[in-house]
Amino acid sequence: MTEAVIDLSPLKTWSHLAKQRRKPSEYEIVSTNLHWHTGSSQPFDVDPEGFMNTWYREYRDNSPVTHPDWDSFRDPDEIVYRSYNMMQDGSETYVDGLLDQFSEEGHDSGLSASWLTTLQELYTPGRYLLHGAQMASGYLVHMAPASTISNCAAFQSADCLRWVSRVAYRTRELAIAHPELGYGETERQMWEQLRAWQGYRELTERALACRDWAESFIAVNVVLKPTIDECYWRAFEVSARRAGDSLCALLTEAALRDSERSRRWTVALTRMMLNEPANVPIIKGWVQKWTPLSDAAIQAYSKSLPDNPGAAEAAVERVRAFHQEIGI
Amino acid sequence: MALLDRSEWYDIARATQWTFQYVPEEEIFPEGHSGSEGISNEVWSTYDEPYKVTYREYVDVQRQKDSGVYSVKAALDRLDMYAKADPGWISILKLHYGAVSTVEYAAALQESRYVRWSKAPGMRNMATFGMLDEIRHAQAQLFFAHEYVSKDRQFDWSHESMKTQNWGVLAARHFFDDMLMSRDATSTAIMANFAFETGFTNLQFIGLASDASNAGDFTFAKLIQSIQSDEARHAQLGTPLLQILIENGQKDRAQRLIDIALWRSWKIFTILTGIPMDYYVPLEHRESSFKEFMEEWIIDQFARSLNELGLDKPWYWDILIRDLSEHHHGQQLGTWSWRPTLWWSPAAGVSPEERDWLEEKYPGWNKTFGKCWDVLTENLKNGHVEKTIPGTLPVICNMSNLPIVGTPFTHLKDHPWEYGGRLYHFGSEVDRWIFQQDPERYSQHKSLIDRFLSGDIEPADLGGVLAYMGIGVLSEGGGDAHDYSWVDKYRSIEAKVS
Amino acid sequence: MALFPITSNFEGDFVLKLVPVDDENTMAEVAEAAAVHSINLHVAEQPGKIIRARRAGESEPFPLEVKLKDSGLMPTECVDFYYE
Repeated sequence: MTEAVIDLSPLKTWSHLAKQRRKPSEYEIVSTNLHWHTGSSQPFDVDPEGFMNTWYREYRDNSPVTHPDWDSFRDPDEIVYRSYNMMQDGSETYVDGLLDQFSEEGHDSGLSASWLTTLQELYTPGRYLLHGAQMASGYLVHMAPASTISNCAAFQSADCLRWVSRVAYRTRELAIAHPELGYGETERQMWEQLRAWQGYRELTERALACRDWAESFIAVNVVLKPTIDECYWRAFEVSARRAGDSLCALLTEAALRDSERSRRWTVALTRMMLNEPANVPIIKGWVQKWTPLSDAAIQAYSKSLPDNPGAAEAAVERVRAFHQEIGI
Repeated sequence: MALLDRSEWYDIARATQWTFQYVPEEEIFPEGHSGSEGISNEVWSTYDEPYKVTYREYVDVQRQKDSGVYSVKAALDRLDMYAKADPGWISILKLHYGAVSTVEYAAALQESRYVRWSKAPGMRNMATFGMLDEIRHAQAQLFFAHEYVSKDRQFDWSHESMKTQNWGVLAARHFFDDMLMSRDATSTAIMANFAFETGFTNLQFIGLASDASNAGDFTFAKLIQSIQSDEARHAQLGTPLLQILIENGQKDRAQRLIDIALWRSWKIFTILTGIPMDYYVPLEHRESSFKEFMEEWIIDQFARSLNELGLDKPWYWDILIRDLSEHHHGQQLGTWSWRPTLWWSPAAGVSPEERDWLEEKYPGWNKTFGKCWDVLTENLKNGHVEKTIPGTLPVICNMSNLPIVGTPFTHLKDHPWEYGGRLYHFGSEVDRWIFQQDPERYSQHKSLIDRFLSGDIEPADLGGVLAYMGIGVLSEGGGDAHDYSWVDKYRSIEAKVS
Repeated sequence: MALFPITSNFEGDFVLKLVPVDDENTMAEVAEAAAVHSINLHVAEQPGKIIRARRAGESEPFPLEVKLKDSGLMPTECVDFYYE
């Protein structure tokens, strides 16, 4: 063996980015082409016919939705870890400010008995719904065929945990203000038994059980999350305002900022999929399959919303509008 | 009343377990992913992470940590550490970034599997932060390594390494795929978070950080210390899980997973940490020997945490203790000898003063490993660099995928096992024992030597092997980090004597 | 004539080495081939001595004239080489 003598001079960036002939951004340097278990018939080097290799072959590599270059996906917001924290630290500081101020003003003691019942039935049990979205987003992180997709899903999963936490926080505040009502103890029962939640619960459970990575993305990002946005958040917010719960309304607006970011990459990835003609009928089929669950979730939940006639129709319409925006 | 304390609402945020109504539970938590069999949901909901953090705290603390690390980098970039650093230190950076950056990214996927598949709600939330942590580590290390890519093509391996078939990568991938990527969430957390992270990341991220500071690379020191502060938090994911397994009659399972993971981690860290600490770090900057770090972090601390949990030391403890003084010296001789196969240039680390240090830290070194270096040094002294590079390949362990090395004259031995008509070779009885725990899991994997002999590598000559490994394709291979200047010291000693 | 790789454990070396030989080679020839990859590279030469080969872990060496194909060794099996 002799020492290698071939000259390979340094490049200005990673070899895989050097072809694009412009200075790469920090986002590109740290986010692109990071999966090293794609592109081979055996994703992992051990246990070739075992559970995990079989799972990845079946539900990622053999997905009916295909693309010649998943790695070309880019997050429209180009979020990197450190920008995510800067942004969300600012958002959380704002939310802390809201909570602090409303707490000072004795907000929760001024809420009406009927609205307190609505919060207990339709708001605080929402942590189960949001946690389901957190888990389902976690699935996309490890199943997506490109690191740029995995990253978006990871930040989305963390966003869901953010709102699981804030809803839990509000639950505790309400329990302190109204100890006799059972806040913090009744949510699981509401989620499992109240008719209003059963559509959401079914959609969440089915989305969690969905295995094909691309279908899971459609189920979670195109159907489940928009269904949460348009009804659990937005329709509830309308009732909250009418009940004088401006804290709830302001928190919801903050939550929807995260959802808007989620929607931007959802639009980008769905369009990327739809650019491949063979994917179009498959994606449309999935949207058709999942949308009735969304409609049912909205119908069941909205029925119980006080002072909000037409909430269901409006929410269904907004989910449809989102689908149209994507081109479905 | 102002803001609530974390403890007032934290438990509500992790009460997220519900009974599935519309899909059978095994569809939502398949055993192959969750590894939760035999333990009830009520028990899983008692999982209590020892280190608690909220989302609000997380984004605040992590923003500040990043601000510290990136501002040190910005301030020190002007000092141009790179131009002044010892070549051995540059080799450490190449080895570290190539071996670690995108593996950290895979660890984010590992954590995301807990977010989805763990039946313990508290663990799902903690893993969400763990997932973000690992994205941080991948992104920061890629960003910092990228600074050097225009100086030396070998830094391209920081991004590309894991996609190649380089022998070191084959070893790393087999290890990480086994521990991080292909087991159920429960087993993975025990192996990766408990055994690997609480045990070994300290070595690389704390041990090496002090060497980095001493060597003047404050940017790297700050970066890896900051990374370790995240590891120290999310490594604790595994401990409450172990408690649950032990209390529910699965102690044997837990013990076996730890025994496998600890040994496999040890082997890979002899290359990643052992060699740099004892051979690449300039002598005057060395904090402790690799063995001393191992004794502190693994032999004392890790053994104590096993004991506290009611677990036993692995059955091979005596073999491990002996290996502390031996194994990485063999791997150093191997990596340096086969330096054309590396994406970094190894420092020999055997100048007269360095050999004195090695003999002091590892009594008997001169009589064993030193004998092989005597022959290499003699050839270099006589100007025969070509006689210091082997003309064949080392035989590779079918578990660690590292060359089978040992101590000259005392412990060098194959540990073969015939299975399914194929003869497997192992570097130790522990590596063979791991294989025997689950032969089907490992038997179809081919080491670099198996690939060479079965015709997977073309042309089937040494040039073909180098190209197969990405050498001459992605970058040049390695040479001697100091371009053999250390040999002059032997020449001048000889001149004085004569 | 067939390629017959063996694993060389050469006394004084630190690593097992792959030595491609031929099944028609005698053990003396095999020892010579193994020596090429150890002697004067990682192991000091001992002039005047001969190199013997024995199946890993056994005490008796193979006779020098035994052919590899008649040695009972499997391909890639480990052979100890040592100066006598």
